[in-house]
Order: sequence, then structure tokens, then C-alpha cells
Amino acid sequence: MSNIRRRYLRETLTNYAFIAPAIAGVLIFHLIPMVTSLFLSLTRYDVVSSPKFIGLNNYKTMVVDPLWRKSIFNTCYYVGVTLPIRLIIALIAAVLLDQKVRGITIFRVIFYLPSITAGVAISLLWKLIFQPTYGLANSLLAHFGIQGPAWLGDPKWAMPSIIIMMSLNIGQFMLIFLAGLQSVPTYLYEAVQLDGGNRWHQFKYVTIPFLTPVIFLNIVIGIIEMVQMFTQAYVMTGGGPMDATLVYVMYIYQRAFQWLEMGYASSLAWFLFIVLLVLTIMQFKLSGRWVYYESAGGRR
Amino acid sequence: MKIRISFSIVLTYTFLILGAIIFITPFIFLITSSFKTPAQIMSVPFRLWPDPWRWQNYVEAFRVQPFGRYYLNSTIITSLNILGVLISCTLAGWGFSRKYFWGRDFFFLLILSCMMIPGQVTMIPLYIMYSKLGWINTYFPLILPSFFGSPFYIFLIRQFFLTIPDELADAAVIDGCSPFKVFWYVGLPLVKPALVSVTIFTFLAVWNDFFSPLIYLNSPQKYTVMLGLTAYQAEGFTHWEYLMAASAIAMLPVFVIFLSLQRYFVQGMAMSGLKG
Amino acid sequence: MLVKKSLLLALVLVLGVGMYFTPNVLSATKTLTVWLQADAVRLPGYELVIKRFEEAHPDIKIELTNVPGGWSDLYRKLLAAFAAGTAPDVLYGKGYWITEFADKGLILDLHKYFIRDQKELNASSFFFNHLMIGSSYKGHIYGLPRGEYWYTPGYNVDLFKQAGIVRPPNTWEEFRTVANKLSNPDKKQWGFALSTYSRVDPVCVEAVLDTWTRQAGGQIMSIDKKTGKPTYNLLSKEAKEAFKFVVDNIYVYKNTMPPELEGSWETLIYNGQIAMWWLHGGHISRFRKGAPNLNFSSFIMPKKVNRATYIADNKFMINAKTKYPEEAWSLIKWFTSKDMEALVAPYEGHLSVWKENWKLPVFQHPAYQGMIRQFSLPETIPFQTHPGWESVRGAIARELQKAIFGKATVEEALQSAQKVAEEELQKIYGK
Repeated sequence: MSNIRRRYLRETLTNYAFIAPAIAGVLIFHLIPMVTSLFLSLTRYDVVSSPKFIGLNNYKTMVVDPLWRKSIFNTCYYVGVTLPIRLIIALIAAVLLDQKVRGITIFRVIFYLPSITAGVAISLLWKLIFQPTYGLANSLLAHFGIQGPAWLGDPKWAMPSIIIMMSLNIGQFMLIFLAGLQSVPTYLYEAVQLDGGNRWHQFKYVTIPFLTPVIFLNIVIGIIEMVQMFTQAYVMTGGGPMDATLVYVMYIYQRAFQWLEMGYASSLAWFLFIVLLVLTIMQFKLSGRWVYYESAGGRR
Repeated sequence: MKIRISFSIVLTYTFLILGAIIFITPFIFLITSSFKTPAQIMSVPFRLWPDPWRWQNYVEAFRVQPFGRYYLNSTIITSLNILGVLISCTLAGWGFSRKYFWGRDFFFLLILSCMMIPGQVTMIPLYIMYSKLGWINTYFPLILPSFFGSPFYIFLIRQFFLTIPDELADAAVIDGCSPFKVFWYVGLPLVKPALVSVTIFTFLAVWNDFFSPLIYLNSPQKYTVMLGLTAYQAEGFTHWEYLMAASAIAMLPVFVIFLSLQRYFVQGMAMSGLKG
Repeated sequence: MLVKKSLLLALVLVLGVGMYFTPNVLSATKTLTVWLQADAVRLPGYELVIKRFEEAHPDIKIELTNVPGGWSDLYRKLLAAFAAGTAPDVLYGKGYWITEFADKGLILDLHKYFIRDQKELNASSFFFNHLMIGSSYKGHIYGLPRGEYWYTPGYNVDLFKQAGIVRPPNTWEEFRTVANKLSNPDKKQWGFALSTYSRVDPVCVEAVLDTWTRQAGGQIMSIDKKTGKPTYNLLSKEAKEAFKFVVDNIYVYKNTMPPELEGSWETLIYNGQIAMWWLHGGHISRFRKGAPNLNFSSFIMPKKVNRATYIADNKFMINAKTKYPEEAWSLIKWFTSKDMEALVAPYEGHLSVWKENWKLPVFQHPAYQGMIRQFSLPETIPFQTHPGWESVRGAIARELQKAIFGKATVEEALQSAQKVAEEELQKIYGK
């Protein structure tokens, strides 16, 4: 073997030493479980006894399962309403923070607070806020003479309550918008001004087109993250009065860990996986139409 | 011209202050509630300020649940996770940033594509595997995976490593450094901001994690802070005053770390978001 | 510097791992693990019982795990622990878990111990025997009962006095009249409230349908004595009448707290906004501490055809795979003995299974009197369950809630409940 080949081989082996733990991790914690869960979805398995092969029965059951449909509806309701709200609020916050005024850091921290504390603590706090008798929400409304609803206890208001809480969780989106705003070339703003446009025109014809990649990015990130919502539903309502907040992952959890139906839960999980995959591919395909990439001169 | 600028600044400040009030109100409610007696929390009509300020809630919250123990547990788990992530992801990020070698791009893409797999698909087989190994109600499921790399952080760190010119690494090799020494003495110091960002992200993710402790931990002595918070709710009855005090303490480290290191946080987010 | 830091962290790692894997050095003593579920008020009582046990048995050490969360959390964790082989030696849980656990062979058959030690146990009491029916599966005994927890109607004495109502209602008609009189929905006053509307578990079914159906002279479930297979009939005249009674109270007569406010149930009672409700012993001790000014008592079930109600309790069970069955048996005998129940009573509040304990000061609160009278009635029925009981009842609860929350009529809800009950049974028993 020539010297060069030998050196190349040595380098390759060295590099594999570096990436070995990661590859092992991908195999053990991602790929193998993924394939296993596909097999599991074809069985009935309660962990106590051994798995029983039942073919596609889980999927057949799933399709006619009213709770499955309800959980899909709840998840779509949640994502479809909360994501646009969060994005709009995040965009407004980012635009505000982009103005060169003093004390920006303080405001940035305040706007980011709900996001870094997201999870159990915040959900429990909002559970108290939404307490129908003595919580902050209804007390505030009572001040204006409005009789507040039962929030988390009312099937109609349970999901809106969670939506309200999550609407303030804008930190991550806001930062990405900010980075996007700061990458817009300023000479274009001047060009609009010279043409006689005002700030609104600047926003509409320069800022928004340049923000389309980050809007797209935030939508993709947002959907993937929100479709997997669990903690908030579990902590605040446990699935909600009359399954009003039974989101998809909550349903998977119930079937897997409350009823110990690992096979059925696996089929539920695989359905989620396929949907997310299709959604993401679709989004990337469609992005060509409305996302503007400057580096490619406007069209990818 | 001057008047217009002032108006826009006033407008900006108005919205900023309005927004800030809305965002900070829940936290003010949290703090004031944590100092109230149960009767005051449940009082109608609502009174914002506690009277008197009941500091004992914070003490009693630790007595009613072994919250100090939970804090220790969370700290151990979070620290070990950070250690694991830093070790495995820097190694992998460096490896994938080297000059092309056979299989480099294939495996990198493979690892990246794992970001697409939602946790729920893998969680059931992993749970069963841990169950058979007898690792339920131990910390292994919560710590081990971090020592085997995490796709997002590998990607992020690799981005930073890519900005290091090859000449620097080559120079070190000529000087007689082993590949690991090149990594350690040339690579790592130049990506410190990335390491800080990854540390912060990992800290936030693990400290706030609820799902994994929920399914893997059974004994209260092993509970994490987030899991322990839910323990203040009994069947049909909640000790709000202790819960709010404990929540405030639970949020404290997150708040402190974010405040002191936000520069790296913001930078990390931007790097990952835009290049991706 | 980095090297030092990583060494330090490695040390922490090793120490941490070591901490959690330290073997039990005291190999001379036998260790029993016990899981139960108790809030801050009850826990000291249980700990006291355990301390006395350890004093009386120096060679046995007890490791108590108080699993926080609710009973359903404990149930889930027990199932997971059994599956992983890490279940405790002794467990304390809801009586109706016995059918599930025994069916799967997870808990120990206590028959021979029971026969051997009968005299020590409460075996002569009618009360106890009722509960023992619930402790058995296929004729064998799997648990020992303690702490009766089923409901009795409770009422706010002051509200009754203010409205000039002399005594609690005796029949369904009187119940409705009294509830109507004490209600003013616009002022957030209600004559009656349940606390189990949206629980997708058996308690909801018991509280809104099963018990009332019994009082109307029917039953929604019967179990074949030979095969143990259950049949559900939710479409009987009595079931419809009973469910309609409950639902009409909410929506037609508006004398019952709307289910959306379930989360505020206790606060509303403390504030005197609810005149009658269903309470159990645990509520009594909690109310006494949380609302010392609340003047409340209890009465017996109002009569339709009879005053039927169930009697149910929590049970101690032993892991089938325990290494120390004799020691575990002596622990649960200890826990369920007369003196230990007397010890725990002030903390826990549940009515003791031993009649002799009913004389204790803690049980002299007026709210216990109605309870005692109720459970002395011959109409009190033992709780009976079957394998899969919880999932069937959960499915039924889901359907019933549609009518409880006003989204469906009583007929529709009962029809769909019957359908899902049969589907669930098919899943469990096959055709």
C-alpha cells in the first residue's frame, strides 16, 4: 500500500474514532428503536407477558378509534390556532426589539421569560391563574364586570386556556426573527424611502420578503414542536374535561403507560412519524414558491 | 424629521412597556401568591398583595416534599448530561468537520435525519429495553443517551468547527500533534462560544424535562424538581402556596443562567437557525 | 484546567453511581419494601405505625415509599414495576385492583394465612366480611382491608338552619326539593355537588349512575357466580330513571353545581356555596383542618326503593414474588389491626373497619354518625369487580360525561355507554 493510501486510511480510522460514539448513539437510541417500534406496532404487548403478533390489527383499530380522531382534531386545533398567534406576537416583539432604543436587553429578557421557564412550573402557575373561583383570570374579568368561564374545567374553554398560556411562549421564534431582521440590507430601506414610501411600505416590500426564510423556518420548527405537546396537557388537565385537551402524544402516553398497550401505542407513534415526515417534505417543496432567498437572486 | 423620529420612539416604547407588562404579570402573580396563606390565595375578591408576607411557605414547601433532594437530583442529572453532551458532540462535530473521508457525509446525513424522528416513536422500545435491563427507576435512561451524541448539537458544533481554517490543524499536525491533541488544543478553544451555547441549551432542556423522569422514575427520593412540583397536588386538593414557592425556586436556576449567559444563548440560536 | 475539571466531574459521576447502587449492608435484617400513597396529612400516621412495627420486630426493617400523585398514578407505577420486576413486597391500594393483579398472578394468595390466623382478624364482623368479598378473587383471598372510603351524603348544617330546613332529606323527592330550596345559581349557590364528574375512572360511574340505580331498585352490572363473567345493562328502566335524576338536577332544576366547576369543589364548600355533597372520611379530616368554621354533618342515602350504597376500602396486598411472605403477612396484619387503625385514624380520617374503634374521639364528629348509620344498614352492598373492571368503567364514564356536560341526552349517553361497555368486555373476554 502506498504512503498516501496508508495515511488516508489512518486518517479515516481516526475520524471514525471521533464519530464512533455518535454513530453508536444513532443506532442504539434512534434507528434500532425505530425499527423495533415498527415491529411492535404489529403486536399486542403489555410488557408483563410476551408479545403476540396480530398483523395490521392495531392500525385497523386505530382508524375507527374515536379517541384517535379526537386526539388528531385536538392537536390540529392546538397547532392551527396557537402557531399563527405565536408567530405574529414573536414578529411584533422582534420588530420592537430591533429598534435602536435603550434598555433593549431588559425587554428582551422579559419577552423571553415564559419560554425559558416553559414546562411544568409555568403550566402549574397558569393552572392557578385559570382557577375559576379565585384565579387571576376571572378576578381580572370580574373587575370589568365579566363573568369568566370555568377555563380548564369547561370542555369548551380547556384548550383555549392552554392556547392563551402558550401564546406568550415566543422566545425562540423571536430570536430567530431578530436574527433575520438584522440580516436585511439597509440600503433597500433607503431605496423605498427615496421612492416616497413610508415605514409601512418598507415593512411590506422589503422586510417581509426578506423574512420569508425565517418565517418558513419558524413554521417548520413550530409545527414539529407543537405537534408533540404533552407536558402542558398532562399537568393542567390530564387530557381535559371530556377529552377536550387529549392531544396526540397524550393519547400515546395513555395507551402506553396507563393501559400498557405497547403495541397499539407504537402504531399511534408511527402514524405521527409519517405525518410529520410528510408535512416537512411538503413544506420544503412548497417553500420554493413563497420563500425568497437572496443568495439565489430571488428564486431557489 | 425630528418630530417623526421622536414619535416612532414613543410608539416603540409604548408597545414595549405594554408588552412587558403582559409578559411579566404571570410572574408577579407567581411571586405574590408564593407569600400568601391558603386563605388569601383562595379569597374572593382577589387581593394582589399578601398581607402579611409569609416567608414560611418557602421553608414549609421543603418540608412537605423532600424538595432539597429533588434539587440535588436534578443537579446531578443535568450536570452529567452536560458532561456527556460536551464530550460526545464535540468529538463527533470535530470528526465530521474534517477533510472528506469515506462515509463522512453519509453518516452525517444519517445522524441529522434522526432529528426528524419524534421521541414518541423511540420511547416505547427504549422503555422496554430499559425495563428488561432493570434500569427502570434508575438514572441510566436519563443520563446515558447524552454520552452518545445528540444530532442537533453535533450539527451546531460542526458549524463552528467548519469556520476553523484547515491550515491551523495542518500546522499542528506538522508540529507533531496527535489527532486528539489537535482537537483538544486547536479545535476546542476556538469554538468556546458554541460550547457555552450547547451547555445552556442542554441545561434548559434537561432541567425542564418532565416526560423522561415521569416514565422512568418511581421512587420519590429519585424525583427531579419538575416531577416533584406535580407532587404538591393531591387528589382534588392543591397546596397552592407551597406549589408557587417551589415553582419559583424551580425556575430560579434557569433564570439566573439565562440572565448571565444570554449573549451566548442568542448567538447559538442565531447560528443554528439561519445556517440551517 | 479542563483536565482537572473533567476529573472532578468524573469523580462526581463515580460517587453518584456509587450512591445509588450501595447494597444493603445490613444483611442480618430482612428488609420489606412498602409502597403506598399518602398526602402530608396522612403520612405521619402511617410512619408511626411502621415505627411501632419495627420496634416490635427488631429483625425486620421497613422501607416505605410514598408514591406521590393520585391513586391512578400509583396503579400505573405498580403495573410498570411488576413488569420490570421491581415491585415492592407490600402494596397498599384500591380494593378493586385485586381482580387485576390477582388475575395476572402478581399478588400472593393469602388464603392459607387467613385461615390460620382468623382469630386475630376482624373475621366476625359483618362489615369486615362485606369488605372481604371485595378482597377475594375466584374464591381466594388476596388482600386485607382497612380504612373504609366510600361516600355518604354530607351537608352544611348552618345553611340548612338558615333556610329553616329541620332535617336532611329522606327520599329522592325530598332531596330534590331541599336542593332546589337551597339553590341560587345566579348567586353561585347550589344545593348539591359531586366531585367526580370528569374522572375517566370507575368513581365517576359509581357516583352518577351505579349507586343511584341501586337505590332505584336495579343494577347495572351482574357477575355470573360460576364463570365470573360480568354482564352490563345500562338500558334498564332503573338505570335510565337514576341517571335522569342526576342529570336533570344539573340542567333542569339547576340545583347541582355544574361539572365545569369541579376544580373548585372544595373551595365552594368551604365558602358555604354548596349545601349537600358526597363526602368520605378523608374529606372529613381535611375539612376539619382546612375549614374549622364549617359546621357540617352527614346523613344516610335518600330512599327511592331502598338506600343502597356500596362499601369499599383500600387493601394491603403482598407481592407474589416476595422473598419474605411470612414477614409481609405479619406487617399487613399489624397495619390492619384494631389498635393500629385507631392510631392512624386522626391522621387519615377514614372510618375504621373495626366497629370497636367507632367509639374513638376522632369518630365522634357528627359527620361520621351518618356514615356509621349508613354502613350499618342491611342495604349496604359489597363492592364487586371483575378483570378489566377499570377499563370498562372508564369507557362507560367517558360516554356518561357527554350527558353530564350537557352535550347529549340521557338516552343517548346510556346507549353509547352500553355499546362501549360491550366492546370493552369483548376485548377482555373474547366472544
